[in-house]
Amino acid sequence: MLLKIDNVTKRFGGLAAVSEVSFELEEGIILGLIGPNGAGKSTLFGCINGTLPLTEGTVTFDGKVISGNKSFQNAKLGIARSYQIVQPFGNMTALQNAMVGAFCKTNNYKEAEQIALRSLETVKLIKKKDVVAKHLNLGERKKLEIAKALSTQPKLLLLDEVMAGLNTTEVLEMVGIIKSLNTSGITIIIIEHIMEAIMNISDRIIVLSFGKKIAEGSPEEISKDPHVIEAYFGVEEVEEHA
Amino acid sequence: MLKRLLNINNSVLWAIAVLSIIVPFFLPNRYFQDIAVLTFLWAGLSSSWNLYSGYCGRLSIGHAAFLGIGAYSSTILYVNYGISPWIGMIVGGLFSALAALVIGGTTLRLKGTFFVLSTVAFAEILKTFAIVSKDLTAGSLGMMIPYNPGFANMIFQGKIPFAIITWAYMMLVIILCVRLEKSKLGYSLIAVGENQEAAENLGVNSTRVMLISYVMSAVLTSIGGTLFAQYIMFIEPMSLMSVGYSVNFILYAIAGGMGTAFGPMVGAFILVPVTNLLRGYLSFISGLHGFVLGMLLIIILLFRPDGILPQLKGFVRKLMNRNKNNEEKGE
Ligand SMILES: Nc1ncnc2c1ncn2[C@@H]1O[C@H](COP(=O)(O)OP(=O)(O)OP(=O)(O)O)[C@@H](O)[C@H]1O
Ligand SMILES: [Mg+2]
Repeated sequence: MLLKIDNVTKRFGGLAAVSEVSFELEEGIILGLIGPNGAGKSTLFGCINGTLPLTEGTVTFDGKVISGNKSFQNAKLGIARSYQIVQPFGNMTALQNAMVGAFCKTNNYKEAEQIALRSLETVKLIKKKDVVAKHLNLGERKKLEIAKALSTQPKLLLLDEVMAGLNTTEVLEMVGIIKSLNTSGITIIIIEHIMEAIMNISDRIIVLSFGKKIAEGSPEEISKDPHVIEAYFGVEEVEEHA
Repeated sequence: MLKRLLNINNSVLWAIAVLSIIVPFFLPNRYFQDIAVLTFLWAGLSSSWNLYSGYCGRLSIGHAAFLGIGAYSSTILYVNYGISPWIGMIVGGLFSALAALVIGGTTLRLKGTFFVLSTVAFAEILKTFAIVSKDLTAGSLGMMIPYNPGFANMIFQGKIPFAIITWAYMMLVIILCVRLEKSKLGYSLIAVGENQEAAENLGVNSTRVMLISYVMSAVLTSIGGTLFAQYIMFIEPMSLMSVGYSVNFILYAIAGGMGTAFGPMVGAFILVPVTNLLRGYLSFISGLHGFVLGMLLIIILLFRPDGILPQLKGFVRKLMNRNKNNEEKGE
């Protein structure tokens, strides 16, 4: 198992944004993480990569307990995260943005540059490599967000709504990019609201609602699960179907 | 293409930096040579400040503290114990490194404003300490360095040797900044300044990165402090560790271009001579030079908030593009 989440809880004051969530992740797959707004998906990412300290529970990565680590330590171990709200280094070029990530695994400037160029190539942003990040459009920023994370040469990549706000063509391109990342050997957890995309791309899906894991299974199983339908469409809908 | 143009730009700046050493040799008298020395010195000091605050975007507004540590360390050792200022310079550097480690270690982790305030507080505490510990520092009377020329004493006849030393100091700091820009530390530092959390997510240990460059900045400033004391041959806490001096560090960097290797040099090359000449020639109305200088700064910052240097680069780039276009049209 690459990743093991064991009984993880994260409270903000009285609110349990993530509540007693457990699951395991085997190497090489794409796991979809879905759930209504405010379900705790992004918070769970923060708990995995170390941006947010856990309230309870443990996270084990590659056989090591990593809950308690800082995010930079987890980046070195091989966990990278892209943000729902993109976080580019606005005054640096796309290439320089990616190089910051590349320096995670090398101290050498030329090597870092090569790694970063490869990431930009992978996300199809290479043409914009010398453009200052604040001048990129949303689609390009989403790609840059992935390129930065990819440059740290992760084993596990956490993608938070990288398709939100993109048009249909861009979504299709992004699906292609994510599949190719996975083919190259990177295990991926992806949060997404675009159901078609997530059903198409994921090997397995976990559903969160009010911080709790309410379902886990293959895309087909999930799309039929009454709990999921309830979470998404409300109680009456389920009663009608039941 | 863009890269090549920027390189050309940089080689112009390199040329200005390297060739500036010729200037003092052609200046007519000691008055102008004095201005040249102060210009090199402040270019070096402001570049030292830039090494942390410029790239990381977190302003240290108490850098005069390290200037003071450098100046007092070498002067106390030389005047009271006869130890060469060259050694005093190293001792001062060590003290500054230690001070920066303590202040940085406790405050860099905190949010920006707290760090900024603590740097001022530190400078004020040091100033008070220098005033109070009369046995060591002669208090607010200040310390006079006896005139006894010789290389070991870092005291020279005429201004030229000091022009060379301060120029070398400036070059050292600029070279370090240029190398920083092409290094992991530099990339990490700039990234932390832009977005600390995002940088940490990419494996940057932000506290460590900030601490390393803050210490480097402090040590380099401290070296400048020793040079300053040896050049003026008199130090006194009220002015040396004043907010006014702390502001100079920032002023030249901002005017020239913060977070660029040559920005502080450009700022100092323009503002230090202008300040001194205004002070000299506008002395008939007291305070007039300050007024004129203030207006000049307001104009620079109003029209060029990024400083002069990025503007200059853009200008050269436009010029070269126009040449290129003309060539293409000609063909
Ligand atoms: N730093 C924080 N402090 C306090 N509450 C927070 C914080 N971050 C998130 N929350 C709360 O925790 C809950 C879960 O938020 P989270 O962002 O994880 O949801 P999400 O599933 O990612 O939603 P979305 O689909 O809208 O992105 C929300 O109620 C949110 O308001
Ligand atoms: Mg979210």
